[in-house]
Amino acid sequence: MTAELAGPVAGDRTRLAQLTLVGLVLLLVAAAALALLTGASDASLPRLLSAYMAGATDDPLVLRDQLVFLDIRLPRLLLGILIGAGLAVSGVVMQGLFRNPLADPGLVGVSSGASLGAVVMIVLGGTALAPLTAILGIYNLQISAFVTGLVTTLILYQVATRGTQTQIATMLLAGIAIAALANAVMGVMVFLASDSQLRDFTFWSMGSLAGSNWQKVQASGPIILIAVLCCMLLTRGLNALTLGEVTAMHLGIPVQRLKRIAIVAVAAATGAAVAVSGGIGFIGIIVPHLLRLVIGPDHKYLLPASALLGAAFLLVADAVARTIVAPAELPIGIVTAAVGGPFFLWILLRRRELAW
Amino acid sequence: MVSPVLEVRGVSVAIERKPIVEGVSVTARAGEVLAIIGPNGSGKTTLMKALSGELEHLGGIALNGQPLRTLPPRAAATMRAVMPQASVLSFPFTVREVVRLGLSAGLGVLPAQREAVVEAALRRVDLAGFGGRMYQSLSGGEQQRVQLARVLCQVWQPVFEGLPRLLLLDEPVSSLDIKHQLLVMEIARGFAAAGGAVVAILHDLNLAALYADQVLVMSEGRRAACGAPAEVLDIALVREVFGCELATLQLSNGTPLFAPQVAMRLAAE
Repeated sequence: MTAELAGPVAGDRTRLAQLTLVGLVLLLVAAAALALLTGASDASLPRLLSAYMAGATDDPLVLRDQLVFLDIRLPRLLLGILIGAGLAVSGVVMQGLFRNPLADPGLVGVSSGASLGAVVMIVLGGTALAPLTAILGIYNLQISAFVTGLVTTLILYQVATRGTQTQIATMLLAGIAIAALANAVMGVMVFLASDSQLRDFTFWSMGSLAGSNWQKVQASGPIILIAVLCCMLLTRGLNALTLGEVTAMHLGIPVQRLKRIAIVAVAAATGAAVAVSGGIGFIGIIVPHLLRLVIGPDHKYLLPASALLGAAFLLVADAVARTIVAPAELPIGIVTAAVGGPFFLWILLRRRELAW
Repeated sequence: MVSPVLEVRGVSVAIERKPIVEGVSVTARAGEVLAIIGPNGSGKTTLMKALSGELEHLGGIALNGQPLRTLPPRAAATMRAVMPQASVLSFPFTVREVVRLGLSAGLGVLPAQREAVVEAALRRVDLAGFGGRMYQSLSGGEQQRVQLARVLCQVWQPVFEGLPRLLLLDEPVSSLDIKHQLLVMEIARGFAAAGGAVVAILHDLNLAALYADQVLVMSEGRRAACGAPAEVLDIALVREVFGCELATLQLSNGTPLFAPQVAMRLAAE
């Protein structure tokens, strides 16, 4: 500790990481303000607040503003924070688990697997699976997405991991195969869907926070929150896993338990996120990658920093999606893909230079 | 009676039903360096993997009297540290961050001492000033020494809460130059002198003869011989186990040293 007070120690990125965390909290606050204050409507927060002060709450304009802020923008803000954090943290955990900076729920097919569960529920939830819908209640999309996401992750892990090694190529190819399979089944579902279901499905599949409401916050929020908090407990294990499963075991990590918790948490966070927002890609790969460049791969800081930056990133992307073609709205998945695609190519080029 | 740090009784290990190690027994006590030697494929590394808990075994392995099978990973990690033959790192950590991973697994270092211990461990393996380098940018030999520093941090005090700790080293000098080979052997001796125990796989018969208290000679998965170097190592054993003719000379304390026969011929000319 005294050494740290005397000045930065070579190779110690603790101070930098702590400063980054503070900066990210401020960034998230700014992004939240942006998300709350921008939108297609001309609703004004100052007007609403001054109306509250004056006690003039029956004014139709005030009632409309209240609706915009409390029932449209606020749940959307909360879902944006939770989903952004959940997707970014899922990316970190998958990358730690597969010991590979390219692993991401979107790229390796977990999101497709989760989507499959949600789509089956959208299409068959009212007919063939009606009893299940009755049991699961408002959680029906979340839980079905979680289950199929979990199965996908387990299959992927079995296929892509030989002994203690994960083959990058095998993992990505397995992801492609799984996504293709999930898309095929989703195609069948679309074929079976009624017109109104088809419209639900189309909006949902493009990836969007549109239609956020308190019920969705209630259905997905706790699941994502618990999954993210579980992931925060994996710090020591994920750090040790960087040296390989065997060395992690030598370092006292119960590796099998770690893997089980990680897989279930990733499937839960991804499933609950996908159930609400459809396919929002690339957050799980962009956010951790950028942060590793700045603060290094220590999960003690990488996990919370990813949660903060993921949340801020998604809020900004959503603000762009809501305003760039206002009054219409671009699906947010298009925005993240437009940023993420080139970014991913850049990572590939850079890896080739560094040869790892 | 105090239990030995490591007690191995009749241990057999099979990989995919093929027996690799059969019925090996050996004991390492506090203060001892035990060298495992033997030709390639004689089961040294497989035995080491059983000792470290990586591979399932038949028979008995006990750490300070506790059966290895019943020790939870966390408890085992506070009693023994393992240095693997080769290490890969999947994310770009600095040297300091890698060494810290050892600290976070062990017990007995106060938070206020952590950075001082990391520094001391790096100095011990002759890597002072390397803390800020990226691990992946180092040479193979330097990486091996970083791993040793990490392992030393895990069992920083050779005796902790009255129990001696164990250092398992799988070919710790395989990619090191001669200076650092000797440094690593001195580190092993120092750990034993401070009350711990060391088990190391070695290929260099002379290092084994000079630095080990006990040599376990493996041949075709079995224990071919075991005992003090002066009693166990001789030309006949080397011929039988390694299938190789060597010349030998003996130090005044009985320690044997080995050289290729050509050395003796040249010396005689």
